[in-house]
Amino acid sequence: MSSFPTIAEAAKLIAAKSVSPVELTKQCLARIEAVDPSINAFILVTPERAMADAKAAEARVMAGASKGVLDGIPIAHKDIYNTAGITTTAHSKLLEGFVPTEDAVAVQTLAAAGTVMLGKLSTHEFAMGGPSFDLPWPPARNPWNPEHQPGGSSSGTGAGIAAGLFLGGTGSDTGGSIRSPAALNGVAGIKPTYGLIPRTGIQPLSQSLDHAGPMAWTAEDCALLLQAMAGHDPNDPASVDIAIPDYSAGIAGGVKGVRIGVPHEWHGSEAPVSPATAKGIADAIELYRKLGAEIVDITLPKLRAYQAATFVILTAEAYAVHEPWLQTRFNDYGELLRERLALGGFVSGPDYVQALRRRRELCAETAEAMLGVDMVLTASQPTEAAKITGVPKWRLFGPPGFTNPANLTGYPAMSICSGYGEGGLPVSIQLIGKPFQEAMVLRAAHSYEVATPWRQSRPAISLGATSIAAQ
Amino acid sequence: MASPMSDADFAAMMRRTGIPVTPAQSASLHEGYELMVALLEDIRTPPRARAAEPGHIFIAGPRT
Repeated sequence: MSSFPTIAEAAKLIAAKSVSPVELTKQCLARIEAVDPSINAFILVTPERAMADAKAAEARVMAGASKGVLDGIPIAHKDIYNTAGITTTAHSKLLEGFVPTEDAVAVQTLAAAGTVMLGKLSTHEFAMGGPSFDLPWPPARNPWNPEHQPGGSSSGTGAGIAAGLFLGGTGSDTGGSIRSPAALNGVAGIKPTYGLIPRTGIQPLSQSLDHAGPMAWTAEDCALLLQAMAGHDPNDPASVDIAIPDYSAGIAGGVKGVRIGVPHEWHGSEAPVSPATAKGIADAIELYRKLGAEIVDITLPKLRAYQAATFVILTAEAYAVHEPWLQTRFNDYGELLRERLALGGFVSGPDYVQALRRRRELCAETAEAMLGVDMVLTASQPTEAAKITGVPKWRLFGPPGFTNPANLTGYPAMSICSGYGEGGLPVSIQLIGKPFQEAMVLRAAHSYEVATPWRQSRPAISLGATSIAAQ
Repeated sequence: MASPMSDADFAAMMRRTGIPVTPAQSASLHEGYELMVALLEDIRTPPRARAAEPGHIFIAGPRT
């Protein structure tokens, strides 16, 4: 077995009874002990729960009663996902010691699929605030270089997967919080269509923009996790009741005939990207062309338009969630989050409504611009990860990001690694699909990953740690 | 582009939120607010027709 098995690889070995879920879990716990003090991916490790889950999975496998491909696979949850009997802090003093009585629905469905829960993962405070150094727990760091930030808000999920501490995990994405850490840690992450995965039991940030989703080392693994997470939940008013397709069935089907639109203005003049990011996009375009896709130049609405509407909606909705605590416990938040949240108090009712109107217009314009293509290829993040101390408080007002459009429109979007840039830090591309076309996005991402060498590299910080293969 | 808000006007707006802030926090938020104004202008313009549809409408009745 590889030192860093993917979920798909581990699942085959578990099914063949050549790898034990208990041993796999022990090895992940050993690697967490060796590596996590350097990257702080975890807020809480739950070894007793993990071993109990692993033993149960092993018993099922040995009895011929496996729950499927995720049975016995070690994962971890972003600490905004409620976990019954286990603290859920949102990385905030406000929820320090909070012990939910019920699992989030996505935690339930992943547990029902047989996954092994290793613990709870660092996040930017309440999925918006970091990286912060004034919270009860330190911020996650980038395993490719711990002096750099791992992106966020699903920071621990991205850092921990890249470091090989666990095989997959959960994230949430309100303005890019799955795709940013996926990009900056060089892993895969998909924000599915709005409403595909229930958010019930996940600490909210902005209900009309919040999405739950999986992260893993590969697109193939994201498909396996998405399969378990997708589904209808009547308690989430955004949840859609549709038939869930098999996301893995056609994942190796290639991209022949797929029409990929490239909005060159986005990553060119509107939000210039680093040389390595630009090269990754150019190389991906060439690769997809060679694989039989049709590359089409398209023009989408300006990134700035998506940014403005996303910002107004997000800050107003987040303020509504946090207003009572902002008024009574302002200084219990970290500085970054409390000031970002407080801005929502300055958004008027008419401005919020106008932002919703602009959202409707942008959704229509996006749909029209994408009529002739199946998906869009652009950057996920503009550059390699910045130094962890170099993230400005008001970064929200900087150059517009590439991730907001899919939050505002609800379209599915995925970040995958497209190489390594300055200092060996990962760079990425983003694929944006049409609503409920996750299978096509995953197929295109998988086609790219198997045709490129980027899945063969891991952070040096992990290579000296306990090798799963050597056990 | 709107003119920067005066410190007194910002302090009044801050008080309306009910959030207790120190002078230093107020100054920092004032800086953030001035950056935010440009994004607010973006969603206000161009102005929509008075009868333009809102982003969401209310539909009575049970979920299906």
